Parts: sequence; C-alpha cells; structure tokens
Amino acid sequence: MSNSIDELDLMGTGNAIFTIGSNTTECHPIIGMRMMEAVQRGTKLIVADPRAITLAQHADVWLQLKPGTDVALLNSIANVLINEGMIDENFISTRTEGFEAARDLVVCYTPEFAETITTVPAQKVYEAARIIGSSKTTATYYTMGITQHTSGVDNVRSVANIAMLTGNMGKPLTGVNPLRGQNNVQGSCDMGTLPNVFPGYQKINLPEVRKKFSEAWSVEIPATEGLKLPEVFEGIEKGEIKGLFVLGENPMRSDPDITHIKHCLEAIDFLVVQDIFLTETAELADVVLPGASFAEKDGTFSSTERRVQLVRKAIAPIGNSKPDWQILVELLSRMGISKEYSSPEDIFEEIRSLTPSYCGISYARLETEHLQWPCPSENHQGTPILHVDKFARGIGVFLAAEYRDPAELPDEDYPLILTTGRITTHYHTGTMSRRCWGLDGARPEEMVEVNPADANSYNIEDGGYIVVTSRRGELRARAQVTDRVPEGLIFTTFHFSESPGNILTNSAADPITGTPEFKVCSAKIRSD
Amino acid sequence: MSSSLSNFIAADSEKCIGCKLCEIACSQAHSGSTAFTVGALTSPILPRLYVVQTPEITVPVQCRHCEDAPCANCCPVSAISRKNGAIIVENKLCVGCKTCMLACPFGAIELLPVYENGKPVMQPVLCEENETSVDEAPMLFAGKCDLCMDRAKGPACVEICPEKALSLIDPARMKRDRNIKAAMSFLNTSQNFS
Repeated sequence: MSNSIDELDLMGTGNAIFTIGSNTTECHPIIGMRMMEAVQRGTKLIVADPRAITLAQHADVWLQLKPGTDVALLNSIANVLINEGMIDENFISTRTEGFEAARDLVVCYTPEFAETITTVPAQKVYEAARIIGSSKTTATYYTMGITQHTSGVDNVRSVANIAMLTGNMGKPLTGVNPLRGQNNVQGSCDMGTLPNVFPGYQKINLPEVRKKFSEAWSVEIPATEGLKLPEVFEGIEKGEIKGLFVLGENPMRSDPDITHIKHCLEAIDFLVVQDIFLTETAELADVVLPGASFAEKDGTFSSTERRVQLVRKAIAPIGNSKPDWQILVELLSRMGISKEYSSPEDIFEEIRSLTPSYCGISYARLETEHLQWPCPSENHQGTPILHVDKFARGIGVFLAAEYRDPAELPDEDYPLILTTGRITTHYHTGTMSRRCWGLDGARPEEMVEVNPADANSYNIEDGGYIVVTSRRGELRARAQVTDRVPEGLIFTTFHFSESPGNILTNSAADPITGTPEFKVCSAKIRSD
Repeated sequence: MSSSLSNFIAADSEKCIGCKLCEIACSQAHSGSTAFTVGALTSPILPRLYVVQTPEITVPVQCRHCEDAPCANCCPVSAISRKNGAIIVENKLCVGCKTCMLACPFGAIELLPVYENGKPVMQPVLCEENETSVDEAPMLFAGKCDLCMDRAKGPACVEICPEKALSLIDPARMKRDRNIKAAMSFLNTSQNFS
C-alpha cells in the first residue's frame, strides 16, 4: 500500500474510496468494515466487481464489469476525467511524464465504446469518474481481481494512471493500495523472494548491489535473475530443473491447472516441502520438513501497509517441528556455509545492515514503536505514506495500455466464464482453516455460484450437486443458485481440496510478472 | 401494556459484512462447550441465526419472539411457549413435526440434531425396509434463537459482532427513549407556538 489503513478512519463527507477487484468485506474483513464505517460517515464509495459482493450493496456507484475488462473500464474513467477537465494539472506537470501519450491512448475509450467491452452502462462510468474527479481525495484499493489476469500489469498501471491524473498520490486519504492477502506476503517480498531482487527490492542486475551481498555472505552471486513460478514448472517439464524446495506454499491447490502441476511435481527428481501440515503438495514430497506455526516462533511479520511487527513465541514447537530459520540455518551448515545465526533478532540485524529501507528498524524499537518502511535510520519515524514529494523512481510515468482479451474466452464448448476467489471462513488452500472444526463447520464444502438463468438452462437446483468442467479438468460441488453472479458467470473458491477450483483454472500468465489468470477461464456445467 | 413486549435481536444491514462470526458464536453458545476458540469446538456448527446474502442485502435473520407467536400457537405438543419474555422451545417435548417451520414467517426455525458431550443423541425409529424392526437416527428438535437466556453475558451474537451490527432490542424502552427524544426536540420551538 502506498498509504496506511488508519486513513480509512479519517474519511467522511468529501472523500471517496474506489475499490476494484477486491471483495474487501469477505477477504480483508477488518479493512472492509472500516470502509463501510467510512461510507456511513459520508465517504463516497465506487466498487468495480463482476459479482454483487457485499461492498457493492453499499456503493454509490457499482461498476459491474465483465471479468478481465479492467483496462477498458479504467481507460474510460480516465477518458471522462480528461474530457471533463477533472484532472490535477499541477500534479501532472510537476510530478509525472508521459501524460500526452496516455491522453492520446484513452481518447477512444469513451464510456460508450468501453460499454461494448465491459458491459458497464456508460452512465455509471460518468458517475464514477465525476465522484473520483470532484472528491477532495480518492483512495484506490485493489487485490487479486486486478493482478491475476494476463493483463495484470496493464491493470495496475491503469489504476495508477487514474491516481496520477487526479493527483491522488503522496497525500493522506489517497494512494494506490493493493491489499496483500496474507499476514506476511509483504514481508516475504520485502526479503527478496522475488526472482529479480535482493531484500528491500535491491535489483540483482546492479553490480554494486551484488557486490554488497557477495561480501556479506562470502559467496559469489550470479548476475542472472531467478525464475518466475510458471518458468519453474516449464523448467521441470523440460527436465532442466531437477529439484524443488517448497516452503509454506501449496501449489497442488493454489497454482492454476493443478493436473499439470501434479504431473510436474511427480516427474521431478527431488521434492522437499517445508510446512506446518502435510499438505497435498507435501504428500508428493521426497522429504517433508515440519515447520513451526506462528505461535511457536519469534520473528517479524510485515503487513500490507509495510508495517513491520514483532511476533512472539507463545508455546514451544510441537513434535519434531522447528522454526523455519533453524531449519534453513541447519541446511546452510550442511551445505558448507558456516555463517552462524543465534536468533531471529540476529538475522534481523543482518537484514538491517544490508537493506536501506529496513535500516532504522530494530527489535528494540519494535517493542514500543509502530514502524512502516522505508525507515532508513534509527531516528527516522517510518513512512506511513509513500511518494510524498517524489515517486520512488523520481518522476511518475503514465503507462496507458490498450485493452487485450483474457487468454481464454467462452465458446460453444465451454460457454461460461469461470472466476475464482475466496470466502471469509477459509484461508487460501484451507491447509489451516479446514483443520479448524468451527471454521470448517461454518462452511464445510464448495458452493459454486450459478446465476438462476444459467441454473434454469442447465437444470441445476439450488444446493444440488453439479460438475464443472474446463479444458483442464473437472470438479464436483454443490451449486448455489444466486443473482450474486450475472448470467454467464460462475464463481468458485480454491479452498476445498475435494472440489479443487484450480483444477479448472488457466495457467496463462501476465507476460511481465508471470502471475496466472486465475480470474478468467471458460467452463461448462451440468447437474450431477 | 407495552412494557411486556418481548425483546428480540435485530441486525443493521448498513453495518453487516457477512463474516458469519455471529453464526459461529451462536453455535458455540448453544454447544454446551466451554471451548475458548472455534478450533476447540467438538459438536458441529449449528447456528440459530442465519446470515443471508443476496445481491441486494447482507444481514443475519433470527427469531423475532413474536407477541402472537405462530410457532407456539400451532405446536401440537405444546413444546413452544413464552418464558421470561422470550419464545422458547422445550427440546425434550419436541417431536420434530416441522409445523412451526411452516408457521414461522421469518424462517427462523431449523430442525437441529440434539448433541450431548460432542456426540449426537440417537433415538430409535422404525426401519424403512422392515416395519417391525427398529433403527437408530439422530434426535432432532426445533432449534431457534432463545436470546441466550442462560448466558451471563447475554446474547453471544450481539457480543461477538465486530461491527456492532447486532443488538438486543427492548421495544418498550426503545419507544420510551424515542418519545423522550421527540419531546426534547420541542425544547427550542415551543416559544413559537401561537
């Protein structure tokens, strides 16, 4: 997030929230509640989502777009903002570049033209753009509904374009705010788990950065970037990758097209899985390393608003499990790397010494202070809002994109669009929440959302079993006949191992990030 | 007269996010378990209020403890009655005939299995294939909101709701408070009365 969660509590009459591709009340309920409280205080709310999610019920404008048409929708909002003069010319001229090219690109995306792509009535786009353009501030929130598309990068850029057009960056109650889906996914990205960066997003292709880490770790670090997730599975298929070490991840349920994933994981020579439970992925492993749960270890989590927080051990690890850092230290030493670490704090000290954005954060400060990175020195108070006087790269760039179709569109054989998402009661692949009696009891099985018109066409009863089939596989689950999805769209989660949503999804991915298109594929249904 | 109106629980749909914590808390409160977390519960999740999510609204619904309760009026075995200002089902008397489900205009009643110590209580029933032999089936009863009468802290759903969307409505008090508020609004206008 460029801004902070608490800013929601300061919003009221005159402020606006634009939420796109985020079922916030269901997937980020704490933030969703605060959005609804802000709305009750008079904050305008614009929601863009294909489904009638709870937040849409409270929206001033609900843009019910066809899945995968975000770029066309966002370009049409930009079109109205520019045409009606609701842009921040001072911000554009002093803080950004590339405005003219973006303006020329969105000129043809009139709301009327966009409607032919998105199915959103043009009038709604005018209403939404006028709220964004006339409010004192507009904060934009998004999640996987923006990123999990073959046009994911274009979607994010188009969101950023609207924030920059209206000067809604670098100020309180504004910003481009992706809500991270897990307690420490921000932290794990911060620590350099992406294939092209070291901790703190220091680029691997910069010689001075490589030199710093090579010296600190006493090893030669190659200049080549690592592989993105889809490339890893391609590499396994080609026989170029012989071994895989999976930590706290369950690709057998969380990756698209899991039949293919299973084929790859069975084909690989050596698979190690480190997790707190025996996941579907761990069942295929040659070696399983039992990790400790959050309650059994010390360390830090970094939240979606870049806030670094201490987590403290409540109980000793159960059975043979160990905190992840101890397992990794033992592996390092068996590989002949003699670096000694005595505690998580010891490791954190190394992180600080090598990562400028974490440099000012220490365990001692975290005991009493709320610190959001970048925090470059011990006397720095942290950064609740990014890009205040200038962007991280200096000048902000408008990078508008043309609309591209999703990789797989409905046709005669697979006439429905399938989109996937989450529900409040379960967490990701259900590895933890399905093992919790109460949570599993509150939602024990998959309930595929089907529009009443489609239910009628395919003779499907509410609560009856159906089979959903895509080009990659099929699953059996109960149907939930509901207007929450429009005609032609069905919705499933990926929480239920016995009805695994990702057996259906498409592995086509964004060309830049490699993020798969979980949000759109084609499917057909029949009653069972 | 109005001071004897039954209390009931109602939710504000402007606040509800549909998280279903109320359903889980309700199940826990009626499970007889002292489990501190849902992870430690042993009997199934059997709520007596139901989060409804339609395209237009998200809100839990539950018993209104009607003054002229159709469920109590129609119960053939008199298992449903008014006790301490609430409409209460006597589980042991209930025969599971479902007449109350038919009568309730809110769908607030559900036939639930009886659980004791985390296990379903079984009862003998006639076997379907052979009418002279006896089978075992879970004992069912008409489950509905009882306002958590036996719970020291009051209704569990009201206590747990993170948005304070649920509240225990005392209609008589609500009316009195609104009367007072309305009266107060005359404070500064009375001088203009002719």
